[in-house]
Amino acid sequence: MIPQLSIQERDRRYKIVRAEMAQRNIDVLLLPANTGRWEQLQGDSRYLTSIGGFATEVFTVFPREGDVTAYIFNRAGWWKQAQKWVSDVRDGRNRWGQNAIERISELGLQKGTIGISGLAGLFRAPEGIIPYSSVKAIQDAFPTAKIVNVTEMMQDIRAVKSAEEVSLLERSAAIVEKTIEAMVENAHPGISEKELYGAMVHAMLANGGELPTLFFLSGGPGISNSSFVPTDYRLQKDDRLIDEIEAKYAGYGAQAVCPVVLGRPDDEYQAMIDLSRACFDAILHQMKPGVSFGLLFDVYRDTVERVGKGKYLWNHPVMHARGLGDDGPALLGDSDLERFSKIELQPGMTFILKPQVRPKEGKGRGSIGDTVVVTESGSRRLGKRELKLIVKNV
Amino acid sequence: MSELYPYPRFSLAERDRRWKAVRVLMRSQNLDVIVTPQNSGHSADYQANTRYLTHCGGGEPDVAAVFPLEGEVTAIATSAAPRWPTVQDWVTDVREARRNYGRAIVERLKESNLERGRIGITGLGEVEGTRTPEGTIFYGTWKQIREAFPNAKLIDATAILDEVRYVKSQEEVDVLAKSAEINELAIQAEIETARVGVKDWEVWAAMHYAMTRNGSELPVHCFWVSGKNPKRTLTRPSMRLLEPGDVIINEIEASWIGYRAQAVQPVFVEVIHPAQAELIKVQREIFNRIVENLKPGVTVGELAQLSRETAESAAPKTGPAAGARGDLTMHGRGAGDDGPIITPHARNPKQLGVAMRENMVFICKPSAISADGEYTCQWGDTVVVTKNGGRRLGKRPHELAVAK
Repeated sequence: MIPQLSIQERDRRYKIVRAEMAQRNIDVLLLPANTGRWEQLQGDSRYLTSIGGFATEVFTVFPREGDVTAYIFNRAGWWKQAQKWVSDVRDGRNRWGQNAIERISELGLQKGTIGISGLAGLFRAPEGIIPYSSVKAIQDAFPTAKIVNVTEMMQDIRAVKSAEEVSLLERSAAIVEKTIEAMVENAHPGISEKELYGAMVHAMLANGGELPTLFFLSGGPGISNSSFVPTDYRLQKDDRLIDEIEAKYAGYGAQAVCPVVLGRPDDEYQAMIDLSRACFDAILHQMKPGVSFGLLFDVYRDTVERVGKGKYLWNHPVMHARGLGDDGPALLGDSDLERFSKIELQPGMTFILKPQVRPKEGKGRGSIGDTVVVTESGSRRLGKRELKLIVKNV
Repeated sequence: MSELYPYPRFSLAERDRRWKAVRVLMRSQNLDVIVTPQNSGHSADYQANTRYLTHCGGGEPDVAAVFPLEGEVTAIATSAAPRWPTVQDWVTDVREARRNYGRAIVERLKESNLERGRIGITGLGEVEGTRTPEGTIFYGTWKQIREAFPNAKLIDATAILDEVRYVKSQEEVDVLAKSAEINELAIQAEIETARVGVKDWEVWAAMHYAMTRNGSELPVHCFWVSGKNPKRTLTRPSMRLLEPGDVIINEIEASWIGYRAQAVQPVFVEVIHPAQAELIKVQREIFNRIVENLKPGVTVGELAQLSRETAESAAPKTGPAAGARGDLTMHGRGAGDDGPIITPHARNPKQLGVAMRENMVFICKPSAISADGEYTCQWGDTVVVTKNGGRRLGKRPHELAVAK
């Protein structure tokens, strides 16, 4: 009834995670429930249970040995039938601290080492995703247990995608392109942002997309930003459409950045998008196993300077990983560049690559982007559309 | 002040009403400030208090607020400057978090000399929220506040915001009526799309299209399932193909400026099951009796009893609805995670003793259940409590819908 990953994929993940747990002497993992930020913050819990989507909260207890337990609010019976990965699904009613205490007690790990992924250090939630009172309840119940943060461990594991995961991202990328087609088809002077947004949501969902998903869209003259909420603004001739579009399939979200102009684009904007595309090509050309993020960033800066003839500047973010949500590595700012500059690409890493450029003098910025995967010998795009500024004659 | 986007907004008078009401309760509890933490979980329900006080939100971003007893209210967000001064005119102090909300909250609190103060936090976890028994503030955010103010008292302020938010203003009721209007457009799209051989998922998509093109924000929190006699909704559609005699049961919530009314509308594909055709008559009777009695002072316990008694008197002596029983489910509707919540499982005196107040808004969705428990008929609409009884916000007929 809903898209499924194979049992082999489950076993692959469990094996890798348990090997890391053994290396760190961790007895049990707690993977918090939080469907915030378009459900991106719950990627770890879904990764190990396959349960989630449509704001289904799932709190997972993952022991190094023994059965995995998934706590959802109140529809355990359905989830037991709807997926094949986890047989121990329980109604937990969002009492996550109590849920953890129950399962850890059953496992006899009251004095063990408890790893919490989401205690702190998510890329987009550095303060974590587990409530204070849940942690306090666990600490109070097990005063001799050791609690450690395993967020980075899970980030590292999830960074490298299997072939099954890449196939889901390809499916997602295809839905994104259906959504783009709906945008181009429906965008015309007189339509409101909300109406256009609705038509794009329809295309996304009708082609198998899942909610919630990150999807920003704005229209207007000379704009550079997209908004979280579409407005009643009615599009006019020569407006730009600025977007970030993700469509989720089985929880996996590829992304595209696809600017559109209704009418004739101004030369400056066209030049920025062309430069963004040149950066995209230059970086993609260099992406292969063993290449560092520092080198990719150098390529980006050099291309902006060389192709832009010194008239443009680079801008964060250039690329961040895509997958189940809050994926890494993510080059979102200067501190991330420091953290990841020496990290090398591996086959299966997947990114939205969307180099931004802005003029040295004047305002505005331009960006175009697509999801890309690192292969054994190089890298490739997951999207199939022509990567260019779309100009719709109106 | 940035130029405001063409986007629906509450008035400044509504802002002042809310701020005044919250500050009265803060004063009574000697609170210097309330922090409403960032937490966009559960389709942004868990962050409703922030949006209620700042008007910043929509689209599932993380936004926190610092609300002092006196002085300027602060909204804290990531990419704050381009996002939030453009959609609201309630707060001008919109600060950048760069995802480090605890740091920004602490910086703001330090401006108010609260070293030994009383800092209220909604969602601290000591008072259970409607769907958040363990609170909404993340451990890392709490830790930064605790470490920055070791001598301050941290007090759970969940009940203050709950109390103020239970009773809606006319502006809030109007906004919920708009949400209800969009819900009914979505139901119409569902009826028009649900055909034999059509994928359940496609009907779901058409319903969302109707919602969003008519102005609903995302995220929305809708429930749904199709089948021959499904007992309970899911949070999602499936890939199954609709068949004659199927029914789609649902909970539909369009979001208008973040306010979500709810509608529950069974939609049958081509034919209505005979048992359901009889049960809806009992269900309608229960619903109408409950709505008639939604007056200030009436308690949850009395309404639950009324549901049972009405089912007993309304159920026929013969046929599939003979001996049907009634159950009441109601819960607050508004900006998110609204209470109070009334379910058939409510047993304790505290729950049963909750009394209706004028301008409380609920989704009222009682069920009529066949004597053998095999069939449940549920239908619901959002209602507002008035002096003279409840008033529906929706306008569609109270009947089972047939798609053909």
